[in-house]
Amino acid sequence: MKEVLAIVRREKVKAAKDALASLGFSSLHAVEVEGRGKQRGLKYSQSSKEAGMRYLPKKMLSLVVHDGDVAKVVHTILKSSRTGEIGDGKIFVLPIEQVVRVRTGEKGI
Amino acid sequence: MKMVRTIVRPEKVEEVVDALEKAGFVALTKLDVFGRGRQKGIQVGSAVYEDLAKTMLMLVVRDEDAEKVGKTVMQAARTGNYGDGKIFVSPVDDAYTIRTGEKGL
Repeated sequence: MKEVLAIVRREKVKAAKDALASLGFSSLHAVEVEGRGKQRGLKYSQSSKEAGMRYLPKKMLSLVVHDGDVAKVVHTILKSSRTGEIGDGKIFVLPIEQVVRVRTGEKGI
Repeated sequence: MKMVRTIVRPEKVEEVVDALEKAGFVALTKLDVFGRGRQKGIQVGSAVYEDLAKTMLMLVVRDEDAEKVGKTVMQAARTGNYGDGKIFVSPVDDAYTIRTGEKGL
């Protein structure tokens, strides 16, 4: 089992969720986060004054899936949330040791 | 690759981010969290705080950099009091850049 952690643009969340749901991956959780990449946030200048945003708001989606589904989930998120501009985000795949359903106590996804 | 998750005092965040930037670790994700440690929160007079506001910083780095990240954060974030926070390191199998579709950090 793997966790697919995707940090995406907030305006792309619906597209990503819909694309995932249409493939059968409807279980996920989402957290609002702020972040920065290599570019160190945004810098802009207005009338000789320099200003910037150190962090930019993003949404972090998390799906826990079977190993065999990881490639499909990653590809779906990549396709649905890409704009090609800086700030599109990143996807991380992490190993999950155990999954337990709170309602029933069952183990597994 | 390792994911380093650091839970620090909110008022220490900018200091920590500056220190990390200086050490060469620029990319990170920040989120506001609430938590408690072994002390089960704090009591100030008659007010009991079961959970306290903290900030979590998440960085994904190469295996060999995880320790340096941890040391940098600890130095910048430590006050010596209860509530300084914790650092967790977990494995990451893969990373992708959405803009390019490329694999890797």
